[in-house]
Amino acid sequence: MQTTIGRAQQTPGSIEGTILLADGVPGAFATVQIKGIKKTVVANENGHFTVTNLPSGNYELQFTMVGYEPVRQTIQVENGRATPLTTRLKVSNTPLNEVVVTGQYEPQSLKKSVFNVRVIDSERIRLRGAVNVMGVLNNELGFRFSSDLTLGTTDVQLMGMSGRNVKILLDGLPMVDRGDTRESLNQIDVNSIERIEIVEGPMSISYGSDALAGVINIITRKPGTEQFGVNARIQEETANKAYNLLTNQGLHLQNLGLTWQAKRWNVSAGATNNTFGGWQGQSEGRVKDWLPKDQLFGHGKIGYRTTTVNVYYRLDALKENLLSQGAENVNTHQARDQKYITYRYVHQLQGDWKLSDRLQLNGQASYTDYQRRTQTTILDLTSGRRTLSLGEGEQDLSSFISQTYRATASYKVSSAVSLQPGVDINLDASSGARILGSPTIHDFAFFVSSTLNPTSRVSIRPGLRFIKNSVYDAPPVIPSLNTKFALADNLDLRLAYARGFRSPALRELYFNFFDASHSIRGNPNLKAESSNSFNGSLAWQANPKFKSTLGFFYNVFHNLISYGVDPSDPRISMNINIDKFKTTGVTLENGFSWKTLQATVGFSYIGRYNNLLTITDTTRYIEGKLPNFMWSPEVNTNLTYTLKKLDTKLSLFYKYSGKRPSYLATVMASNQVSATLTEIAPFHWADFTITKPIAKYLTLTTGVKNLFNITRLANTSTDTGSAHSSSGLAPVSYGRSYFLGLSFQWYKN
Amino acid sequence: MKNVFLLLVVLVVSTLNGCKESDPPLPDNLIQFESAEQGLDATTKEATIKLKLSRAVDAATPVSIQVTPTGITYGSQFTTTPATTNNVLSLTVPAGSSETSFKLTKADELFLSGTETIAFAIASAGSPVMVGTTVQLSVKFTSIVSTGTTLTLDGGTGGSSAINAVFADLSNNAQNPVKRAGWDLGFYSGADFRVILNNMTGATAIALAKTDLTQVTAADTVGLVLAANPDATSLKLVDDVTGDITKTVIAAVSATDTDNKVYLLNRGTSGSIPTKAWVKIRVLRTGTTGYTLQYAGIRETTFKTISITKDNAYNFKFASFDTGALVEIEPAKARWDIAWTGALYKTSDGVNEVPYYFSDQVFINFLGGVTAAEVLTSAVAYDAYAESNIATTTFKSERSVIGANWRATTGTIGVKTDRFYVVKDAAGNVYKLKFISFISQDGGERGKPKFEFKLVKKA
Repeated sequence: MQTTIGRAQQTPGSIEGTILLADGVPGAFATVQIKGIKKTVVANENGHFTVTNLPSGNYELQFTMVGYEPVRQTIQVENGRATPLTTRLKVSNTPLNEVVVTGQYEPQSLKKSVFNVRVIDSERIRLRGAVNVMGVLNNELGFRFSSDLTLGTTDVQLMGMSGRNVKILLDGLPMVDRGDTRESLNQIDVNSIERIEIVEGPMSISYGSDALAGVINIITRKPGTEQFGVNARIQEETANKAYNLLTNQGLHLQNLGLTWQAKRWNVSAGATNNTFGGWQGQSEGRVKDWLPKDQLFGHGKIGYRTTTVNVYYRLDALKENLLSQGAENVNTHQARDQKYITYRYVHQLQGDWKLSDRLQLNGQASYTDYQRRTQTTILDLTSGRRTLSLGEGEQDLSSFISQTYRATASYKVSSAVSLQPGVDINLDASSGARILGSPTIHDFAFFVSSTLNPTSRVSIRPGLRFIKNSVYDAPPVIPSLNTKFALADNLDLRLAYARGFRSPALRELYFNFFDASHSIRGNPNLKAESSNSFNGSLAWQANPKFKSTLGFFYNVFHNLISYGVDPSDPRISMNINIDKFKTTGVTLENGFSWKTLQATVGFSYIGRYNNLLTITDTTRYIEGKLPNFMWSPEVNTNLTYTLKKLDTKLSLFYKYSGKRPSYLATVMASNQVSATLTEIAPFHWADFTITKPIAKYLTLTTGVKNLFNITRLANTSTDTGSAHSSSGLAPVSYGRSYFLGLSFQWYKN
Repeated sequence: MKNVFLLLVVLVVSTLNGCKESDPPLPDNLIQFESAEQGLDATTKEATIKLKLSRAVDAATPVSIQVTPTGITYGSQFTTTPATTNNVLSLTVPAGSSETSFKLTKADELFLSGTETIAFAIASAGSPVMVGTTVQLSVKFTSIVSTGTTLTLDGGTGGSSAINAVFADLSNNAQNPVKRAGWDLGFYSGADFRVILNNMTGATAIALAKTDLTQVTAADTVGLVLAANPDATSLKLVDDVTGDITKTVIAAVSATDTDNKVYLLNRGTSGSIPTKAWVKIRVLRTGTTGYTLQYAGIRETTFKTISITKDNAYNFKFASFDTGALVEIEPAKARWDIAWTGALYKTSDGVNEVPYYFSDQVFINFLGGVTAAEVLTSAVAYDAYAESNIATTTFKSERSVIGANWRATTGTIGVKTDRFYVVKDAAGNVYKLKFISFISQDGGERGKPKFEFKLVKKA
């Protein structure tokens, strides 16, 4: 600052500025800091600000706003004059505000979206030291994971609904699963994720089937401005107390990624090896509670972009090996091992074309080739010789080919009205020993939605989806209505009604499985599941450092597909449309920052429909009328504290999952039916991590996961003896683990 | 640019493909005799001797067997079918088959001392079949008391719903597979006049108030539930699951014909048996020596009959509606000790006992005088069990002493290695018996259970 004493008597100057955001809207309530004189002003709702009483000279201004990158700008002020200034803020990736794409027609600021979108950014993923997607989502509100140790799979539950009603998207395109367990969520390379967007409530208008409970959209990294970049990461982790350097026991992750761009082209490629040695737990001998798993990921991408066109092709490949080691038969010293080998190739072609300011086209296509092989072998432990087993169904290959083609247009009719039509085509084919025939399903949909802005404070988005399916009678039309009201500049109310649906999956229609303990028949006459959903949220941005969102939801599901009895043969199970289900709940999420502490604190209280009431029957219980909903609370927090002097971040990720009640019907000796309340025990999950840059391009992350050493949850249900681990003690994890990771990042601009 | 992209794709794909490991080989396909020793007593004129393979062959495979008689002459005193050439039997395993056999026939009115033997030895087998461990079979011309061997029971196809029931005679190293669905009714040869339903298919029956088959029509079936469903009421439709001959669904056949009611019979579908039409039946006594079975389809206005004569050498004589005649199912009661089969037993639905089809049940021939005991290895190890332990072993005369207790289909799936069985045959020979494998999880094959037995005490 250079002020001249001699001129001190003159009338001082001033600055009259306007702050605009990247998309041209006013940067309301942005903070302007004038360096050197410790003066701070806040822009008004139109993004205007004035700084008066400034002696002439050069001033450095810093503009900050939550969710945007700080901008510094130098300006010369002359006495007696108002100096005009306009600046634009660029979106940043801080956790309090984000740009989202899920359900949008173009990237949209979270604040403007009619959906209440939850975003988990790359910073959170990095700080958690996660090796898979579950490790990122496991302390999110409304998320629960259930593991089937027999199959080595983990399913997600979102807001009280199981994974079959959750849609997993990779860059907006659906991930294929062989059954209704969302295995695909953990078959995505965590190192290629830019962020994860979660939308609760049905998104069936845009995304079609399955999106009843919500959508988890995994967004992969997009090219930045660098010309050449190298990413590498290595992480070693214990599985409880089991660990061995780089291989076998414990978790071992190695990743390498390269990006390159020149002119309008960009290319990236990466590979990740993720090895988990399993965990023995309570099993004995060769058997392990948690199955060893090897995952090898590879991806390649090539893109071309100009100011109006952005096109890219991306291939994601996965090879996964799950090994289930059997017990040794002491009579023969032989053991049976099963290997589940999965190959998944996901090809994507995505393109945006901005024809004019009013018209934008978007095209997406994906082709998924998914194969899962079961290889069963007998190992002679005396001779070490391994041979293929000959049992029925023990060498199986099931394959799924899925194609998605989607095109949308976004047309701005006027400043108040815009229209978004689209088509969505899904072609699925499958084959395998347990699949009847080689069935195919073709699904064609046309959808249209319109965004109406009668005033600048109101957004109304009605939508319709029309469906034609080659196999089952799809609901002819699916409606939705999303609204957003800016009650005040810092208070947004969103209210939505949507109808959701889920098509019967190939497996539910055609899966036949008969052996000693299974008699399951597919049912080609299934109808689609449907739901009516109401949800709303109130988001309050009290100040740039505090945001609070209160949400509620109420969902009623009809025709849920569940296992029932084949009417022609009571000993055979088949999928039938029997169940009704309801979920309801409230959530409160708060995000704030204070000095170098960044924190989120959330609460939820979610009610799931009483499991005994899901099937309409006339059973009378001794206890009389049973409650409709069974409630379970959750509390979570993410805390990150930066030690500035040490350049170190300390993070705590915590979640309390309340007890999960359900009812068990028991026939008493008196032939009366009693409904017994059973509970899965509550538990605390906490991860503590430390992140510190240790050299110019090198960052060290270390910490403890599962601090409370949770392995299995007590279940007061007396129902035991099931082959799959769905009853009895509910497995959660292999217990407390310690990890140490190094990541390398190098860029050349 | 295109090249860079192609290179990337090739890299990604080839990396993954590079990780494809080659599969382990198939297990060796071994050919061997079912046992190392077999007896041919004075009353038995011929025997069919089987050679078993681990699995079916893709192409016809030659096997040659060296025949070495001792004290008996080929041609005049015994022959084989096919005939030998230079003391070598040339057999062929047909494509798609997992066994081959030949027939051994004694000459008529042959007097033998009982010390004569014929040794059959597998000399060679066409590739890729390899010769297994039981290379040689010694046939003795007397009844033998086996000192023990390992038997793999032939359940046929069907795995957990194996189509066969197998009767095993321990002292003779012999097994006798029959079709579970090969019979419909069993007629007791003991003092009582009793008829059993086919427990191996889950057959059910219900009595009508009528005593004339021709008066029974489809109208009599209205509202009837006739199936072995897992509910308490269905227990009344099946024979006593413990095999108590006094608790059959069909009442004791009365000497007074008018007391013998018509029964409706569902022939059973348990264990993947195809559904068949219901049958109406009525059983009468034929004097003091046997039974007369009257049977017809529900809508038929006439009926057929089968005459059954009691035979004291057998527990039961069996009749089949498919053949309309008597069929061979159980061997003579002195010729079998244990039977492995899928059959109805009972389980609990939480409150009541309900009928339930279990595969892999092992029944003892309790009607023929066989008794057995389960011994936990915590009390005495299999290897250590000796004659001195017999006195403290409590032998039971219950059909399901072994039952399905010997294997686990949940938890640690496989044969239970914490127990073995002691079987005392009707002649008084005591064998200890342990199951080796029965399912792929324990290295075995479903439907082909394998067990080992050893003579503890000769009668």
